[in-house]
Amino acid sequence: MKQFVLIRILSLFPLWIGISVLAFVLSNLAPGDPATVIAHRLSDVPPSEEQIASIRREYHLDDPMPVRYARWLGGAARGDLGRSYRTKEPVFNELAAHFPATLQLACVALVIALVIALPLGVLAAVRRGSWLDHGARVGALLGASLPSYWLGYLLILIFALGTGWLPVAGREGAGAAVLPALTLGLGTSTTLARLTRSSLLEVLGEDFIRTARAKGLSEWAVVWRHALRGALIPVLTVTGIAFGHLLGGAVIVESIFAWPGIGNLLVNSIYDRDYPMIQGFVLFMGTVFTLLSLVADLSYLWIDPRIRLAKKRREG
Amino acid sequence: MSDLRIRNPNSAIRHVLELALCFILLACGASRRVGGEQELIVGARADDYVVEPLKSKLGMYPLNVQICEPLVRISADYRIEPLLATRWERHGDTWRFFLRPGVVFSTGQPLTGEAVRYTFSRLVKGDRAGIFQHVYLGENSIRVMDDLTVDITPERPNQHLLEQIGHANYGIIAPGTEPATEPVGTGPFRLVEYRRGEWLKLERNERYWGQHPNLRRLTFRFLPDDTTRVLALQAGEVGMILDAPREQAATLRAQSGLRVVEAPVGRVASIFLNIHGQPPYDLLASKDLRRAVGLAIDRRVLIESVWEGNGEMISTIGPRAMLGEHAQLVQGFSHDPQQAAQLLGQEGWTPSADGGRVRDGRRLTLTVIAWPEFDTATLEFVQAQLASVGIELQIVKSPDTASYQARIESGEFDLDLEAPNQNDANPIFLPALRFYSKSTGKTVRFFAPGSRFDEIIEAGIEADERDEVTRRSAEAQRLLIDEEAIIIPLAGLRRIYAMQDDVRDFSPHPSLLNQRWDIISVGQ
Repeated sequence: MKQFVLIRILSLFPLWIGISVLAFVLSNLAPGDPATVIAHRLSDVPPSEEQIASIRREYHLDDPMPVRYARWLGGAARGDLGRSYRTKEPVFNELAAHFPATLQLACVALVIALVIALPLGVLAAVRRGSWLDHGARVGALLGASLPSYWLGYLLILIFALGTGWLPVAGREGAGAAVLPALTLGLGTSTTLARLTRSSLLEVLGEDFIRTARAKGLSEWAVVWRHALRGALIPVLTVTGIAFGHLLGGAVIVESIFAWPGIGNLLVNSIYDRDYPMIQGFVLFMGTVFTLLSLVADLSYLWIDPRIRLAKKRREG
Repeated sequence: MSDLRIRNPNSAIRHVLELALCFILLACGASRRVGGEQELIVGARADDYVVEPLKSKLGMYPLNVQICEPLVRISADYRIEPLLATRWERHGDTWRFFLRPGVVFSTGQPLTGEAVRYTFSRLVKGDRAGIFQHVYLGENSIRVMDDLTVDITPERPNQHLLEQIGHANYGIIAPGTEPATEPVGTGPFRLVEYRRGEWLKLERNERYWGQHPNLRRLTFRFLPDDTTRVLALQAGEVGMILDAPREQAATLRAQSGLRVVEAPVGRVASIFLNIHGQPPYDLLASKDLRRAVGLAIDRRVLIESVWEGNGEMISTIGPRAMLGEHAQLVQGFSHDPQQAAQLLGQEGWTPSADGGRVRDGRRLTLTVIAWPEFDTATLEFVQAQLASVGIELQIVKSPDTASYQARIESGEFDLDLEAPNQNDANPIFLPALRFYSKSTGKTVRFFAPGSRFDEIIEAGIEADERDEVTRRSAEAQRLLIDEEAIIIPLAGLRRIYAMQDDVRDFSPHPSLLNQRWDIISVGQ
């Protein structure tokens, strides 16, 4: 078990190197010169060649790309992701300042997704073929197909303009997270609901369920105490990965709702060609995502004793 | 399997509904309604303030919220009015400013000549983008003569200093303060809280020297998404929005409780023509071809149909007020597709079977780039208009400013659609900045007409009288538009504001940077 965990952790390092290469190369290949953008932001007068050259020198943008990459990677290995071109603040501080807002959004979105997905998935499974099952499937299809910006505006129209219950945008007030989280969470809920349904249907067909029924247990007990426990194992694993998606996928939702998270930070950084910020974001999110996947894998081992036993048998 | 039933499925549904209701109830009361007297929340675009020490102009540029005031103010007709300086004199190359007595900063510190010296020295130290390349100020340009008298001597003679320092960049800050952390000025408002990317909260400056603003609190919320900004206004979450999307203006006008106010023209959408391009972007070296492009576009249809009336026919490259009566020197382009076709024929461009034109085996194809703010409909309209005379137009839409800048600086374009702002009161500023061969801007090399134009600009730069300067600017524009067809003014653009009905006394300035917020009041 320990060896397995160690191997999984060690396997993350080459992955992180790969992510860092991609982050660096892609952000540097995008058209647009950060020095020109910086110069333009300081004034509405177009800058001269000399002024742009001076900014390029200051930010070492004239150095060859491999040199800049090595310098950045060396810093990242020491926990220093460089300084933002836009604010001159350390990238790590910027990410740390914006991450709590995104984390809050992702957590609320996940809660919403689970609250919708689990009962819906269970009901669809136990009432297979009923109007509820068909309705859930249509709903899931709709939820998966709706673009988040469209859904976001629709929710604003209903809950902010229509009823006045929730604010349109921003992070002020207790209810501010509801609409962006709902926009974000609805898409995830459809995936989880479908998974819950199929997983539960599979478990309900197994022998131990038949035994439970033969013992005279109520259907409620069969489903909620016995079947659901086993059915939730793949759902939990996917939930871990979905949480990573929610953290990294909030870019559009944060833009629509003016939510001050790292998604918004990324959008502004891309506009400004703020290379250190973009690279820092990708590396940071890549790390978070891979760690969440690792936790999901390990939780799988922990939750399902059959996997541990099978592994032990193989090792023995 | 199909006979499976949960014992009490209705209770599960009820639990879900209860949870959802909890969420909604939690949110009740979070929606902030504006309308409380003397408080206004303004929905602004993205937060573009620079927050780097020495370079920061927080509260001043690119959104001026009147925390700091410059020495002079630029009126809606681009005239200079006294502000922190009550009067000024010019002695040779030196400008002498007499400061308004009794003015204090929001901290209580008095305004003295030292504050002017501190402000300008800081700007010079932090200058990298070259805002001083046209102002010619250096570290030793400011001399404090006494508490209320300051001499400014630019490093080279500058007749336009007065018109330039009315720009918000030159807002006077209290000595020893740094706007990156807290801008302290003499303006009608003082900063209460700035949260980057979220809001800028202001309160009335009770120590203000002039008439106190009616608003006790003024907040600018940054809502970069156009639709969200409109929805926030419709929901009553903000009392006013800046830069209401043109395509939603009619809807907002029709909605009860809301008002749409358009500012006078402060910028002109124009097509800049690359006359010094390298192949394949070399076709517009021909003046007749350039004229044909100008004549082919029906600007009235563009304004009425594509922009839904949100524009104004204009012949000059800046607001008409900048040129006064001399504006009539510039004729501009009429819509005459027949003449355009004739010019193309004279140039040897013969019609081909597919509606295009060819000459010596080369197809008449031009490439247009544009500021990202211009929508595809505008570019497609220009494309269709040029196609009607046989000019094929390829559209290169830039997703953001950085990629647009990269494209224009590479010279890979024939036409360039822009809408530059007129933010200061210098009539010669725009033609000099974009077309004068000695201007330091990186794109001048594509548009500079040459020595005759340069002579006009130099005469304008050196002229003492404003009337002479405006005449020179008009002459320069006549050369650019009527004689050489290097720029095609399409339409004057009016900035659109939308607000709740109870927002009163809002008087829009052609330039957002010079917009006054202190005169607004809220209430029936």
